[in-house]
Amino acid sequence: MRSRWKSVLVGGLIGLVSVVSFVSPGWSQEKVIKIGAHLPLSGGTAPTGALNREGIDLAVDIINNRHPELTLPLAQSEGLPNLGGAKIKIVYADDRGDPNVAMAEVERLIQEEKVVAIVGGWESSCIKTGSQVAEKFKTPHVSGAGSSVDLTKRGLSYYFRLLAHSGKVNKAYFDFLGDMEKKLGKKYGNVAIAYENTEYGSVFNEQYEREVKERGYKSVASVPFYKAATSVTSEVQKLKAANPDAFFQIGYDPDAILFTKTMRTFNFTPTVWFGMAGYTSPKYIPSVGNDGNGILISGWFHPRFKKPVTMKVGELYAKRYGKEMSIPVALNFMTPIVIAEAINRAGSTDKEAIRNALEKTRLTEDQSIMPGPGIWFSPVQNPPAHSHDNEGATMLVIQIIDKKFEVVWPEKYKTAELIWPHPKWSEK
Amino acid sequence: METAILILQLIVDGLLVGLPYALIAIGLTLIWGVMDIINFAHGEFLVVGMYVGYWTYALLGVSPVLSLPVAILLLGALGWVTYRYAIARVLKSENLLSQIVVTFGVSVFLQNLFLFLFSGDYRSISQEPWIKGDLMIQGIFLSIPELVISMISLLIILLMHLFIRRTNTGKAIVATALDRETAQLMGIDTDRMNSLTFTIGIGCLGVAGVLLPITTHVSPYSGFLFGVLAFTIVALGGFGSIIGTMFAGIMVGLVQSFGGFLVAPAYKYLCVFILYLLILGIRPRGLFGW
Repeated sequence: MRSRWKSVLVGGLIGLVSVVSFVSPGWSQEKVIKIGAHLPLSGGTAPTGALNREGIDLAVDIINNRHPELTLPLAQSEGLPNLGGAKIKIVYADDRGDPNVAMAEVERLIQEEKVVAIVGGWESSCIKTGSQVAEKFKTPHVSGAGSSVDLTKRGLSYYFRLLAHSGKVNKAYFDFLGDMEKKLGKKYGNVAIAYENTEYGSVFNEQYEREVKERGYKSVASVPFYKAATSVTSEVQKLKAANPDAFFQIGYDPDAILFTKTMRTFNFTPTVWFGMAGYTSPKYIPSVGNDGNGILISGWFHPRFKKPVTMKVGELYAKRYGKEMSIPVALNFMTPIVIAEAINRAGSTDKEAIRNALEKTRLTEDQSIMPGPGIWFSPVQNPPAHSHDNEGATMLVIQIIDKKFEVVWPEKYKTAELIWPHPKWSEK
Repeated sequence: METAILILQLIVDGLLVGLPYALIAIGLTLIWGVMDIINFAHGEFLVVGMYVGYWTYALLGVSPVLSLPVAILLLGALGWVTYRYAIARVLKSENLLSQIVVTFGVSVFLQNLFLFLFSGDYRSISQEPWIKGDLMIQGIFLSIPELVISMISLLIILLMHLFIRRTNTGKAIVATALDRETAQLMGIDTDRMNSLTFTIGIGCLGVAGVLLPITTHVSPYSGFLFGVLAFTIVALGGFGSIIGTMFAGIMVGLVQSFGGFLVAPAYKYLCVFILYLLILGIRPRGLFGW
């Protein structure tokens, strides 16, 4: 009697579970929307991957919970209101900074984890392969990192980039220079560049040359140099002999340090000194001390730049992680927000609908923590035109002032007053 | 006038770069001349010296000038150990391939050891407490650290020359280099001369290595370029000749300086290697070879 009662109970429960799952097959999917994220969580860039993850986690917290103090999309609500308050869940995958692993992991996320979209990637190479796989499976991929110009020049329909690509670095420098010329009523017409002669420096130089030509500047010296050379004496002499108004130096840490030391020896002081890459390394300022003061660098982000929403998110981050928001945290922060906002607008988790909604994304300046007027994407175009590149992405101009990085341009974001012209060596 | 100053400046630059190159190459030329073995790990031994200079500065705040004796002793000891436990064994085998492989193996081992211990970061001495500043004499710019390093290099080169030419041990080393068997017949312990040469040759790298992070940077890969340049200098100067190495070092410095300015900085090393090929074609045993 007792065993019969038991079997009835078990049978009834089984029946109930099957009925519930039959009646609402999409129930679980609607309440939790899975987004895949591939990041270097082990390997050489693992510390950066961990920072990326912190940014994504914080963004998901903002989407899933109410944050009335923020002007970010979905901060005012819990979850996605158009999908019955569905929550976002990130499924992380470790791409180890290896493009081949990124390919396999993105495929796994789509096929096995059934994610509706992909975010992340830190290295341009991993984003390149990861987005290629996402394209194959018609799954939207939004990256917050990846500055390689080529990424959006492949005509992909499902890949979207938020970051200002490296071509915009030059644009920011020349826009800034143009602004200064207008402000001071002077022309800094003679420009010179020294760039390391591997791909990074050479690609930068091509874009630089284009800007120089289009804007009517005169290139008085163009000096490619051997990457990580042990001496740059002849390079600096050549530049000094050309006597440029504005000088651009593109290289890695050792090059930046060596150029600074050698320029000091030869007392070479251009009016404007733009640096890239090596000058942002944590090794640079400790290695050159006050000699680095006055150098201008372009940056995607700065933890203290004056944008209300960024400052508020920075406070949230500091409360949660006990530190200042760094570039890797910020770069991927917007990716889940952009996707969740598109899903909410689409009112569906259908990948095609998400892709179409992403194409219509129009986030205003207050709705993004990154510098620039907002987020919207260029249409899919034939290469070499950019497809799905964030047209609102801009760069900041940062200056080393008193051994600290400070935003000096655009004016509305500045954290300190610009030092102009570049100080003489004796005054540093 | 301006052209004259420019030419003078380029000459000075060439000298300042060339003398430390020459000091680095001396160890290589001695080892090559005496033992007839190419030390592929030469650049990596230099990097050991560079790390000694960098870390004593970074951890203890000590000027590399003070750590100079430590570096010489350490590198000398490292040279001796390498000779005893790696080189001496393959020298007996007379198999050329194993001689090449052993120093190459030491080079790969050291490079990976640096990577493991210190990561791939580039490091340099930023605030040297003693050797710092710049000079301008009659329109010629000079970096004091570079000047000091060149002068110390010159001093060591001349001391090495005197040691080889004037002392009995030095003469025994030359004798071993010229004719090993006859030297043995004359009662010279050639094995001891080998080990001494290796110890001194690597010890010299201690001097150059410890000072270089003041003017340039150190990373696990820094040895490669210095190694290749040292190889070129030795081939130019002639195997075993100290004065030849000094002149060849200066020549490489000058070609680098003038080539960098007149052709293009990116090609300055190319100019050096073209010179190397030219001289090798005209005079294969180098300018001052034994």
